Amino acid sequence: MKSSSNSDWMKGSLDLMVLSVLASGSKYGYLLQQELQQASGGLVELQAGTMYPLLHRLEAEEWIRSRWDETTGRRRKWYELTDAGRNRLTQQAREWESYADCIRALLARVIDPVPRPA
Amino acid sequence: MTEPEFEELLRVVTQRLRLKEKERRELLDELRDHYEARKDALLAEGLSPEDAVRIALSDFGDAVELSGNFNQVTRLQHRRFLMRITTGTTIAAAALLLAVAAFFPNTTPAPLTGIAQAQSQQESAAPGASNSSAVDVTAEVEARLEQPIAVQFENVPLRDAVEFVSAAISVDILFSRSVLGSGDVDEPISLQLKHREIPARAALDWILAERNMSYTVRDGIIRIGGEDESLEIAVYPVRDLELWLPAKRADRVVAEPSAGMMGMPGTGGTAKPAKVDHEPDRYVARNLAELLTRSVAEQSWMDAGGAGTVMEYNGLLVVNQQPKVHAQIRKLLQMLRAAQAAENAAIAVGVPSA
Repeated sequence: MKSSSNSDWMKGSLDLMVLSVLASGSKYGYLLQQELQQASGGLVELQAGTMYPLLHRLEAEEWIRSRWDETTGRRRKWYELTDAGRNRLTQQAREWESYADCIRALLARVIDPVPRPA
Repeated sequence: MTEPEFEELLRVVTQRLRLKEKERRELLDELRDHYEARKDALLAEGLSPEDAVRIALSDFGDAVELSGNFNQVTRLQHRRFLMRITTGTTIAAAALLLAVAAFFPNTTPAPLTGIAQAQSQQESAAPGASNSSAVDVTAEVEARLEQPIAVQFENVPLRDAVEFVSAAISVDILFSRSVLGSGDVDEPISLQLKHREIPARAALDWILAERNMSYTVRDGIIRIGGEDESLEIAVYPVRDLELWLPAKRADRVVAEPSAGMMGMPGTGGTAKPAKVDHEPDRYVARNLAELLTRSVAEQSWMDAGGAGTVMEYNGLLVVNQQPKVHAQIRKLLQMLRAAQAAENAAIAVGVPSA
């Protein structure tokens, strides 16, 4: 990830980010990494050394599943969401949205303070 | 970095993970695929082959970090599995530790008796009597490592810190080729000590621990390598620790023990013929293996992402570990033997002869 100041926040939401990129269809690791970077406007650079252990954990937790494809000549592992993973993503996305709304409302007052009555 | 170094990274990573052959092959295929795809994309962007390789490699971090990340996954799964099947064993181990703590709150080192015969992995011949001069030299180095030295480290590279220790105790310290190749020796160490006198051994342990390195003493020279390189195999006979068998303990309290069993005075009860059965021995060894991996240098074992292994073989414990961990294992076994002797004595006094 690019910025160290953001990295702590991102660490807690990496699962959600990866699941959300997989929501649009199955992907192999490199493709997932690139799409995540593009979808985040270049903000999230998930390193391979972090991403593959994360993918294996999500698979062990059965949020995603994998299959091997050898039709392209290069043996490649594709990941896709399971039904349980899709449900979890939807649920977490809702939770995240309401949490973000709450933080946004709080921070709005810091960024753009309401003038005090004279 | 060159491509063989990516293969080297894969080799180290998979070596550090306890994988079945199919899992290992699949992991290699997956990581290689990513590496190739990334490198191809970088080349297509117009980068030089050297830069493409360097950037593609950096995506994986170092081998220790990568295997550590994967190990967190397997450890998670392994822990769940262990929790299901070893609750009983854990309770037994905890009871055992409590017993040791109760009997010997302040343990003093006792003479080693038939505990371990350490043998270097690289050397097939055991050091015998003919090799006594080598043993003397090694003992001399071990003694010098105990010398207190005034440590003054502040943002010094690892190489300089080690040279400082080497000069202070007048013993040559060499780095292994792989450590030198890693470039790690020129990075400053984070340990900062000024005007502190500590044993040379402690200084080396501190310096090396943060780089996951370790040292061995051989032929009068200290050799520093990665933790994987410094492993030594030792066989620990532990059959004599059978007092910790639940069945044996029950026998002692409920039934009458066999006369002279395990060096304990007979209590005059009916002497039962000893049953020849290796299973109890194996039970003891397995329990001890579990105890070791949980109570001695927890992070150094393979299940926890380290390189150490312990196996039970026909009632013996076969341990592949760093020398400092072997020292801790020997100490623990001493404590267990002392605790067993004390318990034997207590039972002998507490159970009146018929």
